[in-house]
Amino acid sequence: MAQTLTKNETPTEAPALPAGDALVEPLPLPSGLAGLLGTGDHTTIGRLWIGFALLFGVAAAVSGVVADLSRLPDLDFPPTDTVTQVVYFRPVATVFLFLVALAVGLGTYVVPLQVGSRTIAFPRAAAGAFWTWLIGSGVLITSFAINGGPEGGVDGAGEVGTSLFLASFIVVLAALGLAAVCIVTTVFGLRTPGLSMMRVPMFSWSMVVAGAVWLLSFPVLAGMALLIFVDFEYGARIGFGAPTEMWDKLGWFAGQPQIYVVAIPVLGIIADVIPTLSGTRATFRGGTMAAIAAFGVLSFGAWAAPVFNEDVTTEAAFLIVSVLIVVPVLALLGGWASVMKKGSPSLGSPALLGLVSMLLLLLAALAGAAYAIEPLEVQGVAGGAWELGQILLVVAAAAAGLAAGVFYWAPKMWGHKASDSLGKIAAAVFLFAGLAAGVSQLVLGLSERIDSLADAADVLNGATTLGAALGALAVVLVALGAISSARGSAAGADPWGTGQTLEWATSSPPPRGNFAELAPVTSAEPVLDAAGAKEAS
Amino acid sequence: MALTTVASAPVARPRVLMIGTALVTGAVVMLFAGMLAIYLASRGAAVAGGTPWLPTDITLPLTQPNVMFLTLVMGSITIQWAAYSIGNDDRKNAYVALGLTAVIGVAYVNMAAYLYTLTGLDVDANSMSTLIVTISGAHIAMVIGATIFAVLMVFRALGGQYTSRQHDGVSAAAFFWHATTFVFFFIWLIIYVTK
Repeated sequence: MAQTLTKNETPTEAPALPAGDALVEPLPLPSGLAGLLGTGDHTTIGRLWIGFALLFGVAAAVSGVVADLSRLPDLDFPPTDTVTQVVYFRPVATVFLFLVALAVGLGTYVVPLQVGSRTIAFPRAAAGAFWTWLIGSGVLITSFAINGGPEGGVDGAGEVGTSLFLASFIVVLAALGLAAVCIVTTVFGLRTPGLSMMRVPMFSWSMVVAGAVWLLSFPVLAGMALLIFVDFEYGARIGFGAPTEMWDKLGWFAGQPQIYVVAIPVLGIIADVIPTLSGTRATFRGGTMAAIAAFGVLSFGAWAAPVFNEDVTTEAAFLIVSVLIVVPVLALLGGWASVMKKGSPSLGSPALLGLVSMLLLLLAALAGAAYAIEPLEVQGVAGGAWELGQILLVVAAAAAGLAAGVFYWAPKMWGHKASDSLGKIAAAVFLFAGLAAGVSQLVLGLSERIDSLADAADVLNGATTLGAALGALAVVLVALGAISSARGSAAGADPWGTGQTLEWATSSPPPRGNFAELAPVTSAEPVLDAAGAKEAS
Repeated sequence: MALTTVASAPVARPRVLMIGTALVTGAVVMLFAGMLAIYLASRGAAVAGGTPWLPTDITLPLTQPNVMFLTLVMGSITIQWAAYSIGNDDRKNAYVALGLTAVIGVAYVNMAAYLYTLTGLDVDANSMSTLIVTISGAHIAMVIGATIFAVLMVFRALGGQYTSRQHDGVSAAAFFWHATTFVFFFIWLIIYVTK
């Protein structure tokens, strides 16, 4: 007997019904908490990601202030038995609870809209990824709070805390990976007809690159955490599970070149913001895509983990990668300068935040290149000051760039434009935060060559602490900006008036199912095409 | 036995499950690549330092890993058989092949458990034991995942899904299984053959 049914994997992936031909009335969605917990709607999940990422971002930034205070002498704060917790919580939370999660949130919300899809791929997996990440993050924060984390206290609570940290760390990595799978699959598999990969909006492209690099590097980190967990929980704790050596095996995610992975989506955000706010089509699309891809490839850093090679920072491969990564950053800056020259740029808050981000990223890339050049003697000086400065610059650049994304898409996500002045203040605060925190550590890193700098260590460390505090303030400003976009005059489909890509072709926020009907796409800027056709007729 | 109500033109259908499975597989392969790289680095460091990698009281037999590897290869063949059958609308063969794959998955886990009793590995003892237990344990989890994937496809096929025009699910399960075999080849070679 032949079967004739051809079902799709999940109902939400079914092709769109023709407008006005609703065969079945959709079931009413549950409201309230049940609706929130059970939703597979990418717009709700995306906003949840963004909200909690910003919340954890504030926590990460505050932990940064406390960690920086520990380097100031004559200040018995924080207490010595909590220094390790704060110092290790900072990079873990900054990367996996804040920056990557914020990028995933923007990707979950914006990417399906940009590629003209009615849904994200695997909506239930996308929802599962968020809730898994949230629970994992909660456990991770708890583990540090009970004296855990790497090198956690050796008393009973500390041991539990260390085990909890390792387990929740793996859970958080897996959840972020799953979310990345959903976003990347959306770009590859659910593009609207006519939208070839070469026409995909830049943010979606950058999420493909970032997702790929995350999916190739996070599992390596998770594998190391798993080995440490097995030895710490069940073994003798002399090999992998030795508490004092844990961070040596895990910390490479917050070092060069792996730290650059948090900045990959930022390149895509700015590449979308600049042409839109300049009111002109982007030039050199292929070159921009190649530069983002090159940046992504060069940021893959699992090979540079010290467990494979302790002296990796002195190797030629490390030098080549560190210097080469400056090239795509410069190429992108040049391309955007030409776009702005061609159009009539308005320096709205997203563009300003984007420019701050790129300035900090360029500085970070140059600092990273200098770090790899051994004769400069900046490696390992003053407790790794140069390394810290470079990482802080990358983090500030990524945070500012993701903030540009939040302000750019805020009217789409919450229905109203975010306060422009808040965004501009945030841009200025990000700039000062990045420079104060990052550059002062870079200067301290020169103390091997310039003796007098060693005497200024207290001042420079103080400047870094101030920068970290400003960073916390900037994240708060971004959160306030997001809140401000929940009120004000209603945004139409295209609040910037010069929208180019498909997210500006539907109402703000989009209805259930995102789009009624989309005409086949014929260029990389379908919204501009439609506007042009309307004017011509 | 022809299909009766299939539309004449092929539908442009997103292959999301295949793409998603490929991405997940890539991530899982990197998990093992990372751990095996640590294994090789640790073994290299131990040998260079003059200490024997395998303690004298530990034996790593080769027979069981050989059988396990062959079992997974057989699973690769049966699940490909399932994908081929469903591609030709031969549902009976597909059921048999998917069921066999699931049995093979269980057989692998059984042999892996037996191998643990033979080796007498003690996680407490040294890094080598930690590495072998973690890597082989993670691979058992991967095989269980691949088996669940295959069983899920049996139920979906029994429920009427998948035809010659739409068999992404079975193809994706096959892809993941092949990756399981691929990963075990390296575990077999690095841990059990070259010791």
